[in-house]
Amino acid sequence: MIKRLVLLFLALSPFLAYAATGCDLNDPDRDVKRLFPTSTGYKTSYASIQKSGGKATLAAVEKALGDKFGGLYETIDAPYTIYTIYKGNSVIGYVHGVNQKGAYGGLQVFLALDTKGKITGFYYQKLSSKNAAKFKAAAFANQFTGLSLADFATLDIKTGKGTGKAALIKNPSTATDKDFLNTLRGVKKNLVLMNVFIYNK
Amino acid sequence: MKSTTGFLIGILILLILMAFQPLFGDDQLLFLEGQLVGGYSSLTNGPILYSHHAKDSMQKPSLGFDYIRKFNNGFRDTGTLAVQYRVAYNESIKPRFESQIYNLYYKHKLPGFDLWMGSNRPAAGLSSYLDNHAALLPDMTMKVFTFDRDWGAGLDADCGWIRFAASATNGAGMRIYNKKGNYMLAARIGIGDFNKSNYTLGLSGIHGKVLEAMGYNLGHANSATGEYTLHPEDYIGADGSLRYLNYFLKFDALSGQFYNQPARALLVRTGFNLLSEDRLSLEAQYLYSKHAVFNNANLAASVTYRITPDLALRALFDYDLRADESKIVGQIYYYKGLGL
Repeated sequence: MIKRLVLLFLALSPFLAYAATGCDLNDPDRDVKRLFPTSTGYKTSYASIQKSGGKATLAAVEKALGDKFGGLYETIDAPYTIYTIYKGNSVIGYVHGVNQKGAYGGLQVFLALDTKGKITGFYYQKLSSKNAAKFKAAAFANQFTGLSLADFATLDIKTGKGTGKAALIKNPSTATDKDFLNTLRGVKKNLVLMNVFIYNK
Repeated sequence: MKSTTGFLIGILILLILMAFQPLFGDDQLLFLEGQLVGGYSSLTNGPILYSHHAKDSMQKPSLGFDYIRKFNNGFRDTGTLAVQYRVAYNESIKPRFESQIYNLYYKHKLPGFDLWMGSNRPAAGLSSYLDNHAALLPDMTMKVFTFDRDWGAGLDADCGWIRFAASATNGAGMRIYNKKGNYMLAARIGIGDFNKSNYTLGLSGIHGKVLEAMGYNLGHANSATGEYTLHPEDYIGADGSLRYLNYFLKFDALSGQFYNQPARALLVRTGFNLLSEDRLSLEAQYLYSKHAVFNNANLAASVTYRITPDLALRALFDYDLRADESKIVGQIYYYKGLGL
């Protein structure tokens, strides 16, 4: 019988490729109301690079990001949770989060975006850091407000240098704290993916 | 349900879901879950194919799925359907193939709170929010104090910085059994979120008349009538968790009465994560329980290594003081989103 179980398990293994859990809001009702005070509701949907064009899309995402996907959360079939925000019958924006490698485990970087793709809110849902208070401070979060993917286009996420407005974002922590560059990568990845899933659909 | 029938029904449901998965909309997620579990017990002095107990549900060699569907009215979410199902292999008891329903609930959004009905976690203690679905380490639900899943209804309310949850359930665990009015009422009030704020702290209360349940198996049958004995229970409890950098600490404590006698339980679990994205996790715990004449403690340690996003290896060492039993258990665990 054990042999049959093992054989069944192995027979299903082709389906058992690579994926990861999505990045959901822990308190969507409260978070959405905080990020979009005039909203009357939100609709949850799921997307993936696989469903949005597959390998060609992954290559385009990596090119736009300026880095290869890797690790536990950056796979072609990783599910992404998108919250579409409504005021009455009209869409007024989106909330989307991504998992990102951090200095201590993973970060969860969430963005609130308007219908044109401009950031209206930034926050960490998950962050474990000695400098968590500095990263979570409004003074740091507010630097992202008003920026869009175009502002991150020339940003080198490995160095934090570039010519756009994103390159002017100031590190709230020490120069050696890797979570600043990790955060910039998470934000840029978030914007690139939203461009694929929503704005350039 | 006969073992073969249960096994075939489980596989049939899985195959149907997999066949129709490409037609799913963007409001649904389907995950395939499979695990192989095996080890050695000093008590039986031989191999075992379970992590905790032959009669308990977790963990055993199993195949199952996890399905989530969001419902909306076009402009806002109205509810969530969650189904988590396994067919598990029983090595030494019947049925050989056991249908196991974990989540089977519909949660409806109402102004100010969510209301659920079905099989879900009772609103008490750490186990009401601790994700133990793949874990080898035992927890409070594997003692007689509360249940991992119970049939009934409950509500969750997020009132700013305070969270409130309550449930009214059958008091028989995973099995639907109600012949003498068994029930369990539970409530928890808490602050924090382990993912969001790196801590939780909560107070719980439990009141009811429950059955001794271990997975789908009920215990303490009346020798004259054959009916299972009801156990009045009243507890208050505290639970919490804390993460700092790579380290974490979790605890769960209950104190009160079970079957009209003093009872208490304490779980303390600590550990730390290593490697990028917490790929390697080391944990150790102490689990103490006392009810009626049963006074016991378990010391356990576990290591988890995530090879890929979907594939994890786990190992457990567990020492049961009362039975003087040592167990070493290994697990290969898959959890894979389909068609994403």
